Amino acid sequence: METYSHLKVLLIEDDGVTNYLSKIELNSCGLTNISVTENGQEAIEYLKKEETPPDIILLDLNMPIMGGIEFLQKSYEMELCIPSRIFILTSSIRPEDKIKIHEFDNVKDYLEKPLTSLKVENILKNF
Amino acid sequence: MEKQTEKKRNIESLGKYVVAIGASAGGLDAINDFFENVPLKTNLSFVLIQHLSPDYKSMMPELLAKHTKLKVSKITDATAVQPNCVYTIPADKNVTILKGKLYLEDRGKPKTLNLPINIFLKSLAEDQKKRAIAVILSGTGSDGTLGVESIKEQGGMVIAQDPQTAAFDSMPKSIITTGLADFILSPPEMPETITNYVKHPYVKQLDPVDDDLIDSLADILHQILDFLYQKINMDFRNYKKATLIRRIERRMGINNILSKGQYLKFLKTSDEEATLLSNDILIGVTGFFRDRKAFELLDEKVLSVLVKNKEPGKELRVWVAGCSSGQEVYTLGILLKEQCRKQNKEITIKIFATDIDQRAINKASKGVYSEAIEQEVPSELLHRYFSKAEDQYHIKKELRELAIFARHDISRDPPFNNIDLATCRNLLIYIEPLLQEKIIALIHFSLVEKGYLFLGISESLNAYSKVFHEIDKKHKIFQNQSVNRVIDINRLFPFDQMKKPKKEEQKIEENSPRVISKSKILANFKDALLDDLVPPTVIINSNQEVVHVAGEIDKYLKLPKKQLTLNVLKMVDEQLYVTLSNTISKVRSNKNKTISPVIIFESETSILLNIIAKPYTETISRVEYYIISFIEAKQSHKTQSNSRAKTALSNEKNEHIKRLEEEIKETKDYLQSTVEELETSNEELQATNEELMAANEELQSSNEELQSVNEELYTVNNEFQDKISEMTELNDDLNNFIQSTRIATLFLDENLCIKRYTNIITPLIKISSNDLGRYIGDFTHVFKSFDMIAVTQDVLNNFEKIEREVATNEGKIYLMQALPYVTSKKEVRGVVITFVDINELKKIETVLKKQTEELEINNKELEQFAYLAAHDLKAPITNLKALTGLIDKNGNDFINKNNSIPYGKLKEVILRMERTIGILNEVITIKKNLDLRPEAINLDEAFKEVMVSIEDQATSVKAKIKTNFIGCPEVYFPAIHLNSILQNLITNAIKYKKANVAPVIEIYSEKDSGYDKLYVSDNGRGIDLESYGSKLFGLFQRFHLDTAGKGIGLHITKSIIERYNGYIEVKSKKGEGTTFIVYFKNKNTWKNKHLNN
Repeated sequence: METYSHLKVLLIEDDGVTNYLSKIELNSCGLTNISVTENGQEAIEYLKKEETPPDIILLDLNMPIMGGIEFLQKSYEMELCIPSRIFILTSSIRPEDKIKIHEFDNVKDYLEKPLTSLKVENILKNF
Repeated sequence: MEKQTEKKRNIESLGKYVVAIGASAGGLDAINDFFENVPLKTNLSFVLIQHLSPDYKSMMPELLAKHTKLKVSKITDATAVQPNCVYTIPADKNVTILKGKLYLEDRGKPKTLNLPINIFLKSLAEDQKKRAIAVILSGTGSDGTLGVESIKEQGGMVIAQDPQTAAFDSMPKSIITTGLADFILSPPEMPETITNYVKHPYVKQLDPVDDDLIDSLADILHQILDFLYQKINMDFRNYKKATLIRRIERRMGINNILSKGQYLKFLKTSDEEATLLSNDILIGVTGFFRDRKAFELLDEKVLSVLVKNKEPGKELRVWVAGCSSGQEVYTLGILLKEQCRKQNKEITIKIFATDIDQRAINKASKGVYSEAIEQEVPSELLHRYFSKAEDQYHIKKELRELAIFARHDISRDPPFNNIDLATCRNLLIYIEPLLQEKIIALIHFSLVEKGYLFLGISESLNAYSKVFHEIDKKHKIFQNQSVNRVIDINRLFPFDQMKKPKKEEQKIEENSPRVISKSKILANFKDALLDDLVPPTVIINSNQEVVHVAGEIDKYLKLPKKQLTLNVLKMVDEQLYVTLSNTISKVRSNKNKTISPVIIFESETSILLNIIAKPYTETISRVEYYIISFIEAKQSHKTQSNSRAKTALSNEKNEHIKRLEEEIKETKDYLQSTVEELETSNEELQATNEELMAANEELQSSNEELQSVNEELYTVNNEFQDKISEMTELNDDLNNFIQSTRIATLFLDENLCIKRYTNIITPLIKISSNDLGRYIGDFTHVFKSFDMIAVTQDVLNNFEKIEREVATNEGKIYLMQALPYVTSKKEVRGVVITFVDINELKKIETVLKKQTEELEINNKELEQFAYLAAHDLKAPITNLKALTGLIDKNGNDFINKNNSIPYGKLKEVILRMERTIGILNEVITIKKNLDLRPEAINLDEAFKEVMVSIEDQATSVKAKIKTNFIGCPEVYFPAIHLNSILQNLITNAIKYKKANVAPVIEIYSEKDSGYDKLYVSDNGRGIDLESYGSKLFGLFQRFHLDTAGKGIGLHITKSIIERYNGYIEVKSKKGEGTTFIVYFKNKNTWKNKHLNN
């Protein structure tokens, strides 16, 4: 088994339980470098400070203060995480949301909660 | 004089003119044209007499009111005639007028001929005399002709419609051929002519002409009469001056001439005026049995006696002087024939009928009269003596041959002889007393002893009453008493002297008797002197009558024994006759003193005579006289003289004989030429007769044509009657209907004038029933910023409806619709505007709009809420599930035996919650997403995509899925929804497989008339459609408890499909599998629809 422990993961999600569950799954697949921000705004602050952008970003869409879509726009403008591979993790399956995210190159997939090990494995296939 | 006429005016309705208008078939148009040109203040009154069927109610006042502003009313009994008003005849009555008031009387029996125009005109002429004006318009027949005669007789004026402008020209033509029309005009021209006529000073004059006036006009009058005599040989110089002046003034009025001098010039230059004036003067109104009572008495007292006493073989000779158009002549003929019948006597009757007017003679000679005579002649006589041909009565031959008509000037032409009965009625009243006496004298001359004379009611004999005995004083029947025929010499002046004015004539009259009377003393003195000195002398005039005597003439002249005469030749002794005759003739031819040869005159002694004749001309009067003296020759030459005298006498005799022979020869020649003339006339008459017969034939055939036209007209008339009653009903229906709609409606014609409206419109546009026909622009309306003229004009020009909302000044809203008014011939002839009160509607609309807005807002809020609720619920549920999953994975040990069941149940509940929230989310999402655009989707690719999601599910039951999309490779549908549908149907097929049988699913497509069909067929357990068919697509229905079916899929599937105008069918039998068929609307049919349905 490969280790993916070098991969940096950023969780942009306001729900604590989701984050807890996500961490467990990620850990079970060997990803240990996990940061958490609770909304888009926080995420932008965090990314500004980081030297290197994260490899994987799990992005929720419905967050207070700044939602997922807005984060994508802002981060794109500010070129904060262009090389990152962003995966939308949301409870929403609205088609219009799906369409919107396709505008962003660095968004690779659209996943439905909850995060499962299967889904993580699929993510890791990219690496 | 003035006061008298003033009084007269007050009695007779202010002296205004009354215009009677008579019309029949085709008269409506003429009447309308006439009244359209009548100004408002003419002060004329109009009485309209039409031929109306008695069972038809006339609508004339309403019809006429559209063409004139004058007040029009139907005549009721005792209506006073007012100026500037029109009176129309009611349908079943006749009208007369008396003292300016109109009276109604019943018509005769329905079958009898009714001539209302004649009836009214006759009474109008009587009542209003000169103030009557008759207008005869289009019509068949000849009603009005007799009435017009009365009008003209009383000095009124007559206008006939120009036949070329008349639909039926028989009535006006009848007037024109009688020559009684003063004007022939088209109806629009008539009112102006009438107003000009009544303004003319001579016409206005109602006063009888003053005597002074007569004298001062005498000069011009005389010239006019002289001219008439010269030009057309009609001698009116002894007609009553007043009548003549009136007739002349009337002609001046008609020709718009103001002075008599101008009229004389006009008379001389015009071709026809002389004839017209003469005809006017000769107006004679006559009829059968005129003055019925007089004729009855004549019949009783005179005719019966004449017939009774007439010896067989002798003629009964009658002379009708002034016979006019012959009615009196035929009346007498009828009465005489009746007497013959009654007394059973056959005698020859000859009636000589004369008149100065050739036209009257022609008419009388024809013996054809109009239907109007039915009212004058008793029907039995009518039947016996007349034959009816169509509308006219012809005198039968047996009556006609009694009469001989000839033109004859009673004042100059010699009278007839041996007349048993002479009538001269209504002739003398037009003539001066002087000429009257002469005429009576001539008539008297013609009568036999005991002959009868019949005059008109207002005539009298004057001087000649001495020689007549009154049989009936009131009715002027006289009998001749005198045996001798008397001619009063003093009055017998030849009236041939044209160059001398009347004054001089009077002077002549004065001269001869007055010279005698004035110088009577002198004359007597002279006489006394001459008696002794002068030989017996007589003075004779050119007729050889003795006018004066001197000396002892009684030796040679004696009064004649029989009839008294003053002819000298009749008075002279026989012996002197021959010589005297010769001498007179010699002196006449030589005009010199003539001495006759010697004559032996035997009386007591023998005397030798010379007759010396000298002509003498009266210096002033230029009358020729001859002075004849009887001079005795000396006795000494007796024997010589005797023999000389004897030879002289025989010479004289020879001369006399010779002269007589010459005279006879001349007379014979004259007679010969007269006979030849007569023969030529006879031939001409013959030819004329033949022409008449040919004309008669033509008339006959015209008559027949008229008959058939008449019948057609009758039928057409009936049809029209029906049509009219239909239309009246329709009109009523229409009116009621329009009013009942309670919609404010306005009908305008192509000039934007008001045709019709409903009463409801009156608060919106201020119009009333008087305003029909007026231009709509004249009226105000209550709508703000609404240019009605522009809108209606637009509709008229473009033939398109215009609809818009308009608001009144008070804020009320109406829906205005302006539509073109299209006739059945597809012509646009006006505009119809309606205003519908939509205030209520508007209010409701506003409320609804508000409600809808609120609802939408609410709806959106609800949707949003539902979405958020579902969405926000989903996340915690997902987490719950994950957490329990985690516990399962990691912490089975934590859950001890006692907690495993509740824990299991916890998981179940969480599961159910998850499912429910999932479904809710799905439904909400889909319902929100139902306005996606369809696109062309490849079914094969869509299937593959779906399979990716459900591969696990499929392989786990070993499902076999076959597809075939060749029949229809593409459908037109939103991609996402197609995905959902396919997924739903396939998963259903898998879920509801037969137990222990691997599902085999067939999916194929085909095209079918506007739809693309998709079949999903399985071999599963099937559905009991009978029991559950209706609930199949309902929300939250599940049929099998052992499957993890949501139960929502079919409902959503159906919703989506139907949202895009397709539909879904299911075919299934329990235990035999199920087939779902989805119909997608074909792409081509999509293109024409909007998505917003």
